[in-house]
Amino acid sequence: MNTDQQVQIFGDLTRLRDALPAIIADMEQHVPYASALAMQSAGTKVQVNHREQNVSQTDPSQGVVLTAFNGAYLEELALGTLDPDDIAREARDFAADVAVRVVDEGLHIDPGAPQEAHFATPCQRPPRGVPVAEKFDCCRALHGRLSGGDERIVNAMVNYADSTEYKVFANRTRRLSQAIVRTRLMALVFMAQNGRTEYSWITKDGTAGFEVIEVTDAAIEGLWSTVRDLLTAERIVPGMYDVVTGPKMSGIIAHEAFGHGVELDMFLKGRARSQEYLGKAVASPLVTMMDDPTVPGAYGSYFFDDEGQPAAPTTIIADGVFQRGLSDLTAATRLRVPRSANGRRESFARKVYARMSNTFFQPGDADPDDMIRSLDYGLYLTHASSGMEDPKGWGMQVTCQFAREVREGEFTGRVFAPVVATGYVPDLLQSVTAVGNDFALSGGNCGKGEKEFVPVSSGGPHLRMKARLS
Amino acid sequence: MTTQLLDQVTTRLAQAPGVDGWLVRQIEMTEHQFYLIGETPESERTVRTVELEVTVYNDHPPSGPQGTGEPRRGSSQVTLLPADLPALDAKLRDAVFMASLTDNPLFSLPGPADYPAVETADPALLQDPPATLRQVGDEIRRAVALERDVRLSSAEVFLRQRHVTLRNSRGAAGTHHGTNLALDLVLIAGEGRDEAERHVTFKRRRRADVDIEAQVARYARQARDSRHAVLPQACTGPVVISGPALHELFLPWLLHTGAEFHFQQLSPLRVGAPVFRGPVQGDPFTFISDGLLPYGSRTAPFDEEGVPRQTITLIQDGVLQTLWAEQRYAEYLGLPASGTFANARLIPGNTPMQDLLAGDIMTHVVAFSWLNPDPITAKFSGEIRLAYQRRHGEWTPVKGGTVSGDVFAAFANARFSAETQFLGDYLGPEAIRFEELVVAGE
Repeated sequence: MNTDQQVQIFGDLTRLRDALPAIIADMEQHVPYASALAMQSAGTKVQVNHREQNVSQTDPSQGVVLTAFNGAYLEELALGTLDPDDIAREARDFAADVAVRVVDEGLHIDPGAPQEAHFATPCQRPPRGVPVAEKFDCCRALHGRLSGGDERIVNAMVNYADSTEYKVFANRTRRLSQAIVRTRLMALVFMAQNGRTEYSWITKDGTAGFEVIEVTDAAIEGLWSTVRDLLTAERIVPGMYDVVTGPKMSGIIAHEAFGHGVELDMFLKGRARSQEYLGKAVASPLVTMMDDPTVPGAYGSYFFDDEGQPAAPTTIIADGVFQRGLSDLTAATRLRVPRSANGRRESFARKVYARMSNTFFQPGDADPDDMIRSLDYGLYLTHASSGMEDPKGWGMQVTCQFAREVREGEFTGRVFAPVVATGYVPDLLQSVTAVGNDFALSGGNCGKGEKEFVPVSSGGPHLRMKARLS
Repeated sequence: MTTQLLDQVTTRLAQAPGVDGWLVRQIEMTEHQFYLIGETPESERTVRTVELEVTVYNDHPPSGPQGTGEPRRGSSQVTLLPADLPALDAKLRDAVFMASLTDNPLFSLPGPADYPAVETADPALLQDPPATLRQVGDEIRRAVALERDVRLSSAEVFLRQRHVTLRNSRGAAGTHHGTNLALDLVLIAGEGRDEAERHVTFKRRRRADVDIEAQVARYARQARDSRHAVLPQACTGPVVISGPALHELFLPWLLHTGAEFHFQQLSPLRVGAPVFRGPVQGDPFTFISDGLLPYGSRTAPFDEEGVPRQTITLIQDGVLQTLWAEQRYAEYLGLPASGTFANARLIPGNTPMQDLLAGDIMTHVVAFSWLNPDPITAKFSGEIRLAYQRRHGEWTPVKGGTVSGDVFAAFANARFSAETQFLGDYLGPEAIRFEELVVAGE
């Protein structure tokens, strides 16, 4: 990633960037710490299916959030404007209002070492430079390729979206700006047979430009084959199984099973079972797990978080031992632990929480094909679709769209769908007996509970483990 | 609320080249947010935004080598913010260009209509929002203090009011004012390694619809029970699902009774035909989209396009009667336009909930980790966050394991409680007994 590339901040954001230091200084006449985050995003989305087409702007967002520390907690005013004069006036009134509640509880916020920098996602083809008509034509062409493979296809959908998100952060020591480009494509195929409709999908995504959306013929053939298999899929007999997980499934396990439970606001709230395991073994010694917002091209990457903390990798589990969690400013301040760059907000209208970025297991040394061949009887899980965390109970639920049966190291052709992996997280992670030498990340949006969605990715290598499936 | 911005935009839209129709919604929102960690405030926030959601429609000859035949309609959405006004013409040109790319069958916009009077704004939430937030916070703390062996882990309180002003090029015009009180509570029972939590959320339009003391008591009891929960015993048989745990089960019904899903050829259901493939052994299933439900979360005078909100019976006694239909899909399928889906309403049964729980083998689920039925296939498998299983005549709290099934098959053999519950966007039975679901566990 370019860490010092000057970027073109457009419109009012440029003026606001220049005005923010004075606004912050004005606010700090009243409160012990103040900061501001201004955001502006825009992009294009294209949808093409058998019956309809749509090309639109992606939901734009534009606004500023002013943060004032009153000595005990953070108060915020979020406004849907980037006009420096309006913001300066509102900031003055807001800080004066907060001032009446300022107390000294011994909490101090470190504004960080001085830094002034500009960052931008490197792109081969920045989406803003690609004509809308070309994006639409690409989606139509892909839709045509998806539609022809089987007479049972009743619909095929192509959903494309790009966004460029500009952020400016300022406090008394820092003035940072970044332009993050995210591009995502989802292709779905639906087939119907005997009153049964099944579907599957492939995705392409990244903090990257238009170049990321290329879909190969092999990927389309694989998609058709999957949907055909789903038309005859069975329900699985619930039980414990030896499984090999593909990178996508491994990633959702990392994210749901352990990632959410080490977001340090959960420690403050007494909601994290992992708090009791700091420095202790929580997984097989083969397991190392990271959160890293600096992974080049990954969908959850950024240069600084929404509280001005420069992005850096965090090792969560090293060789099976829990090392540390992911923090936002409040959690780090109150827990008196070093910050990580994980303070993120859905938009200027929402509060910051400790959130993951790109969360993954580190690769090991096993050949994925050998891992599958090592199964006497087991299941191969690749197509994770969703998951839910349970940081207190340390349970987990990860839904995989289907599982392929493996007997004596060979695929039998039998498919089960859908399949849900549940269980006690340490049991699952302790059961890991092989870690693949491959690696892949998949992007998506992650909620905290059922809200506060932010872009993330998760992944890793193939893993062999025992899992309770139903 | 001012309409100055809206007026400027609609004036320009009426004159803009290539705009053959337009729809504008001005949304003005103010939200007050209050966050607690335990007894201590974590944050207070105020949010104020104004935005215009604009859809432009462009009619043009079909694309392709011939370029002849019925005209086609393209539409494109753009969101405008006050700061966009200086660049308004350019933004509208972009939107028209995007709309001109797409070839869809012609459809029209909703025309002027008499919108129903509905109850959506609670004066009790409007008087002094910051003070109300603190009162709600205090009430939560007092309610938790009444509970043995339970403490508040965190609370989030959101108080929102929204003004929506809608206009379109056919003359539809309306305004809507709504309020919302949303709570996100985490209660923890026990101490140390013996702790268990219960995380619940509520969203209601009216303060009086959130009985904080009763809700805290209910979920505190569940948090205490979670401490002793064990893995469920595996079985296939009757499962009662109650309370908010029911909510997500309706997603496949909602989607498959919609005109868009049928236009896209994604649903096997047919209007006039039974929605169940096999014999119906349970209570009659009647499913309604109710846009007029007093203080329903999706109650409004009109939907997002300006179609008047109404109450429509989609499934009556297990037979699909009609589809809820936005204007566009209504025209495509030759149906009356009824607007987007509103609040789900299900006709209750005659059986008291206690009787639904009868039987030697019974699992009663009160919370899933996340029950997310597949929107297309309607199959589901949800991890049990808390349930009760009858074992040797006694109810035992259980968690972990899963409940699996198929929503469409499950409702063919289901009985609905006589008791009802209101969940903001749902009014219907408090509990449903499904006679044959798979419980995975020990």
